[in-house]
Amino acid sequence: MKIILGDNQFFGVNHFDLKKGEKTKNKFDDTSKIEEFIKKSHKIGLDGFMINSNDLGYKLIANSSFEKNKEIHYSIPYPHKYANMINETGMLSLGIHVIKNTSIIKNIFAGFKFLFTRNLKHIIPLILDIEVPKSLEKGSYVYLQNIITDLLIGIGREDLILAFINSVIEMGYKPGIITLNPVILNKHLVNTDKTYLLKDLIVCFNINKEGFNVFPNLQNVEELIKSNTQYKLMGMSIFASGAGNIPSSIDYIKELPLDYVVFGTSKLSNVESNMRLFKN
Amino acid sequence: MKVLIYGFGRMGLTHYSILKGLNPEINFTVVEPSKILRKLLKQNVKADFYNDDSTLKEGFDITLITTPPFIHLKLIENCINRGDDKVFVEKPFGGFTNVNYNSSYDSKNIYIGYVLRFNPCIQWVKSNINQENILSISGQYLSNTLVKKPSGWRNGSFSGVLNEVGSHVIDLIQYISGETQFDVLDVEKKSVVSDIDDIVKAKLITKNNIPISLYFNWVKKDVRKPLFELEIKMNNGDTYSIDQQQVKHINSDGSIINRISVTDLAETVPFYLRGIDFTKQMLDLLENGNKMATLNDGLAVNKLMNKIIKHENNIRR
Repeated sequence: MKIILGDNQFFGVNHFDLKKGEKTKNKFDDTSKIEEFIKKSHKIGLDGFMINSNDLGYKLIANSSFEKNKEIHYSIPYPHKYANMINETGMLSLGIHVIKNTSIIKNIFAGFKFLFTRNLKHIIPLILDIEVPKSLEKGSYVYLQNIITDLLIGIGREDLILAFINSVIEMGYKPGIITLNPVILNKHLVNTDKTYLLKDLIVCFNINKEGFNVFPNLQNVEELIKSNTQYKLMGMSIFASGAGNIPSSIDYIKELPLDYVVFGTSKLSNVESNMRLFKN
Repeated sequence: MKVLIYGFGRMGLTHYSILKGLNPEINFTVVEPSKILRKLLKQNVKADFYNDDSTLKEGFDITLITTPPFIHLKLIENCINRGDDKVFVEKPFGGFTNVNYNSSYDSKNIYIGYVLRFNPCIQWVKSNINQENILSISGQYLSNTLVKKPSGWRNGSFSGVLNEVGSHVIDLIQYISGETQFDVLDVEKKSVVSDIDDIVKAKLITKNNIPISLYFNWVKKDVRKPLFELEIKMNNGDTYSIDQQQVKHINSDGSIINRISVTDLAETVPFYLRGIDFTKQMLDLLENGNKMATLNDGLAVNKLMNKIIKHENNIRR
């Protein structure tokens, strides 16, 4: 089981205590502080880190370098940026933003396909072009954030999730999908005939012994984890957003056949103690 | 089941996705006036699309009105005339100017989309405190929603922090306390990014003499995720401090008696998008609408917002 550093602490996200989250954000107010924390975590023994494509995350990947043997798990998009855009100027502003911010060549090919067919799958390479920094090491993972994944599952466009996976692979990266509906997503993934898309895929979802934000329920997600999927599995929210007892949470997680776990913390001492619990 | 959605913006899309996630057999019809958006949606979303409702003569099982508020009243009349069974209108129903809406229709089948009611912490408070023992309430909503000056109706009287986010907190106060009649004592409004109210501060008193203080700010740059908070002081000196994630029950000496978090409540839903409360709201709509804000609840929120806006009309910069 590989252990990855999460990014919530860098951006003030604390699902258990919102005010504590805001305080933590101030501790990581520029990319050099985040970079230093990640590198120290790597030295402790973490296998890599996850980072979102928000302003700080994008800058970090664009301007920093990390040890080659450590994995980068980069998630797109930054949902709040697009939500704010819609709030200010409406739904169609998203399309305008994509067209304005992509390269001309990508625009010509993908843009024409999109205009002719109006199928959103042709816009995925344009979004990847905007959200993924050119300097992101090839072979890194690029994830689709859960708000988009779950929206696509809801509207019945799982084909767009597969199109995302395909576009990521074509760019030379490995695909990842974050979802809070892993059981529903799995039903679609097992039915795809494009099994080559699943080879390097990681599906990341909530799992903790409290069953907090584990959907549709803990039992169904445990069954999924034990079902020998064709893709890799990553557990997140493993400490139930801070509500769980950490040693017993880790004991629970260690019993599950997960390929990866991701956890966030703002303290290196927690990285160390968690690593000890995982390795013992 | 036949569901009609008016307006396919962010909320229309969210509700569509959740309803379809909960029940893939629903047949959707969407009325969306934007030609470009309609053309795009036709290729990507499974529904029948119309630019207006003039040809829709048969009633629907559920209709969701997720348009800007200035058109809510016209559309709800269309729903009533067509004989739709249940009508869900996104908050705030018609905005703060809609205070006298009177329908001959069975108003119990009209629901207003105050989604924060479905937050597990709010449901815990609703079930565990006695309304009659409330001494005072303060409520606030902080977010960094507006970064640039908005365009169109979002920069006019149907928008503003009071209509768009303050209404949520007012609904929660009414829902928890049962109080629906207020006198406004003092109001401060400020415009920072938009031309309308971006910050609103108000002091009120209920008909039963419960003091209420409100603070809404949607241009607070240091807030990443929207945060609502309620503080309810009880007659015995205890305080309940509530946000999206937890309820703290505090003694009069400041010590914490009990802390209940969403993790303790650990609720599940069959399909999740954007928050457990959004799915719970749609599940309630599909069932009996017991927890949903009623038409009268929505109008009471509007009446209070109207009083706050009119109390002091000059927006300070």
